[in-house]
Amino acid sequence: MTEQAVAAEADVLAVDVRFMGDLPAVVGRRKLQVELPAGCTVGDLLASLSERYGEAFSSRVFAGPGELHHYMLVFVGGENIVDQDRLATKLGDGEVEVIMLPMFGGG
Amino acid sequence: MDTILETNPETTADGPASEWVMTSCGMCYVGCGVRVLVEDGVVTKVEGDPDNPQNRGRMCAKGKAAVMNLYNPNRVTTPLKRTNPKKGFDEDPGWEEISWDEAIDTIVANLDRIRDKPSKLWIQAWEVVGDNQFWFSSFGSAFGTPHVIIASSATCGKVVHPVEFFSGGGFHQQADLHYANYCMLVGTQLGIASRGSFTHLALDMAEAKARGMKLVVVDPVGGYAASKADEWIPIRPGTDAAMALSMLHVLLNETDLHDVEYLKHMTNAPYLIGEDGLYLRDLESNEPLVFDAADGAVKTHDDPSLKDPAITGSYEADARAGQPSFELLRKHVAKYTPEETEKITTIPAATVRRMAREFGEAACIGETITIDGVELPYRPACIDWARGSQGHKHGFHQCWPLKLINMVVGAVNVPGGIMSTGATGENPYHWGPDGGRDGMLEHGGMVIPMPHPKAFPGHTPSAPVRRDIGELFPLASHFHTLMPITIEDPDSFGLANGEEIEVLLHAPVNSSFGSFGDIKKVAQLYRSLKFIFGFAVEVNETTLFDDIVLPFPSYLERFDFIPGIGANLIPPCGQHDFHWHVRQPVVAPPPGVRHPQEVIQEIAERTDFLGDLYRLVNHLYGLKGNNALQPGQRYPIADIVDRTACAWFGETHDLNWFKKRGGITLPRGIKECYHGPFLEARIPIYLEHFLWQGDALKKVVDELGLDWDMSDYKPLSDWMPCQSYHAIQEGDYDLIAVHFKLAYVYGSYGNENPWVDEICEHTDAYSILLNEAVGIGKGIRDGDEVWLESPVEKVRAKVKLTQCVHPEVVGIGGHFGHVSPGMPIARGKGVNFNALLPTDLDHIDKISTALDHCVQVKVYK
Repeated sequence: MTEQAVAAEADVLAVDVRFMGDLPAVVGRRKLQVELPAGCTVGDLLASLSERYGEAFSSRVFAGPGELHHYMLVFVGGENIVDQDRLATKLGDGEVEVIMLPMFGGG
Repeated sequence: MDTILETNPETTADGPASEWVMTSCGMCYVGCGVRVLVEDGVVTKVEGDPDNPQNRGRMCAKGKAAVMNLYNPNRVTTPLKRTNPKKGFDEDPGWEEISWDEAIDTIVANLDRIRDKPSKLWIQAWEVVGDNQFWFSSFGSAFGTPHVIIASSATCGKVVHPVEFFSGGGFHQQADLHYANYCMLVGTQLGIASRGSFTHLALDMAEAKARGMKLVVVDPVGGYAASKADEWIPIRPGTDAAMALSMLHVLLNETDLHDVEYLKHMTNAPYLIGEDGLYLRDLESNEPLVFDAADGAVKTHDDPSLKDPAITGSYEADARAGQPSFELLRKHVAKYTPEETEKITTIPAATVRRMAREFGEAACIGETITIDGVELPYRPACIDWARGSQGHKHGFHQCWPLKLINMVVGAVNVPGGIMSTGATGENPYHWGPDGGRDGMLEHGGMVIPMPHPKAFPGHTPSAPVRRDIGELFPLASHFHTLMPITIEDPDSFGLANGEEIEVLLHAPVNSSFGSFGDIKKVAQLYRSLKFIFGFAVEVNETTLFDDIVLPFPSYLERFDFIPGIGANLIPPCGQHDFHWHVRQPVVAPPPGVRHPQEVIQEIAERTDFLGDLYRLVNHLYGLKGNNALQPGQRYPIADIVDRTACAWFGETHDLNWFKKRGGITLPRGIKECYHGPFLEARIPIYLEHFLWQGDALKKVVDELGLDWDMSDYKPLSDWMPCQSYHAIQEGDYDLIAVHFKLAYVYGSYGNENPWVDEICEHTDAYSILLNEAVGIGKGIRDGDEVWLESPVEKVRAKVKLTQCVHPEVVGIGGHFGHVSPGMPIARGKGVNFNALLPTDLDHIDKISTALDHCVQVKVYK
């Protein structure tokens, strides 16, 4: 591997994403690996997924620009992003769990 | 500082073999505090706990009869598997007792089969008596399916929950019986025969009546509520909106009986509406505009200089014409004169006019009251409605004008008015409603950290992925009622082939009889599923379709941290303390019965998603740190309840603390009891978002090629008739069947109880009600057996002739008509009302998904 390739690889983050709730039905799978530039945030990840899966994904996840629906939970490395930097939470080695909670009275 | 309730278990003089145990009743979702006498290991008596704030020592007949459920000889006490592959209400499943290992092996094999297609799993989680509904729903979401139902009825709650969250801030509504001087119940029996906190409100209602509160009951059936009322107003089913709009007309156009100051400052009454029906918005900030009469300027609703927002007149903003939404509402309701609506409702014009005036005058507009040193608006008049008004083709718009009547007099979350249940609190942590976009109430308050679907602004409509096409109901909370409809032709809704639901997990409730309509379509739905496993107390009609049956413990054998919804989602409103009690086993379950949460853990572990299940359970129960459930471990239910008690109330209030004391009570401040004046958001009298949600939906249904009725997507309500109204007018049928509730079979688990059955027999509860004059005209005598025929079902029924039912109506109480051999006491008695209901898109409310519950029928010998 060339030095350039190693540097390029270091600049890319392979993020393991796991979906729960309604989202596997939209994404078509429960687990996914997404490659993003190093230093990306949860917001970047969700924007990337919105682009990939379109309105069906983004409308379920976002209530408005930069605003998650009240039923959304996102964990990075096992920590709720509400206890971190919310959508600005940096992605790392840990798995990302994107969860659409069951809703009382839902269904 | 908490107060310890005097609920210590006591030992009787007979010694340790005889003991009173404190727990929570589980015969319905209210969850009253009870003490249970156990003698030599046998439950012999259940009494209300006099120190429990929920029921204050009182119990209903169903609760008193719990011991007969516990010792029901037909209880399911071991796993079963069916040997007959044919499924139907009249098919013998050929049950064979099996081991737990075989049952779980079979379940896991079926879940493994769909593991990569998780949306093929459907969860019916409604078991609102205890914790299992949260576990079942978490199980479904962790598995990865969108098909998770935490609702039961085909109507109940479908309108009131979304309405309350955006116009009050809580889960349900409730009249403030402490201060109301005038209370109107429309299609409900609050404080008399039904609803959350029923046993508590029964006393509040009695005390309110004793101090002179006027109770007016508007209902096609003159039932228990009417029997306690000062006035019973029989109304033609499905016409509540016409009556309400007429009352609004009287309040807004014929009198000045409306709270102008409240409308100006606490609602969107001053928001300027453009010619397209949408808010006029500021060109820079995009915030809605109002006209300030104080300085004659148009400004945004949140402008700090705003003093006197106009609610009448016409104005211009940036060359755009606009009128305050109140002006539009006032003009809109003008066509609903009492004389016009009399033709629709059968309520005489003079009566409606009198009711509206009485209501408006009783509201004491402009008056205040000081409670605990806090001055509050005093509006001692309210209208309460529930299931009866919701269950219609245009259910949302049947109900919304009723809510508006409270709003225009300012009687919302203030003393004497209509209250939002469980909306706000400071214990065990802060929760409460909050504003959102456009300055409007957007975020409802709920102590259980489980979200509720929002009807404002709602969700964005999109092509359906869900098999209940929930995506096409952007303002609804519940969607399951659509299931028997979409199963008939999934392609027509754009549902993908190969994605059909194959596996169902259901709670022990009887969804096939209670959650849908037309029973033939329900059977078709259940037959379409390849594998069903469900928990069961007894083999009811839903169980008849199961492939694997898992025994479910009696409430007297269970732990539950959330023992019903009487203390959390529908607690008593007004000046009441916050309280919490837990359920503990009184006796051990039979040897073959396991705690469902422990079974669910085992299944999740073997299907390799136990950690995901815990992720959701930890969130929904607020389990953090040392209290959080850890992946890789399984926990006994007592341990989980102990962790939850510690997480909510501190390490000193663990399960043992609750077991000894029964419950905890914590005082609520006056701002928690009456949060209306302190809400930092406006509530809507004009539903602007219905327009743009309707536009968005129209694009989706057009792309799908669906012929979709968009008439409900309007910002101001109109009365729109149900199918049964047309059927009567056209003479195809001459009667409309409606359903009503009976306190002693309401909520759950009562039909197969011999004591409850005895009450039903003695009160003629199994009979259908027919107006005496109508019956005589048809040659039908009291007690006759007749045919009762709807467009989709024809059954035999026994008639009770009475003057206490509208002459165009057949009243059907309870949830009867059982056919399952597993319910020998209930079998063959009464009528299954839901089975009479046509179930298609023409009978579904396009806003709330409520199934039309007024159905045209014929009655003949």
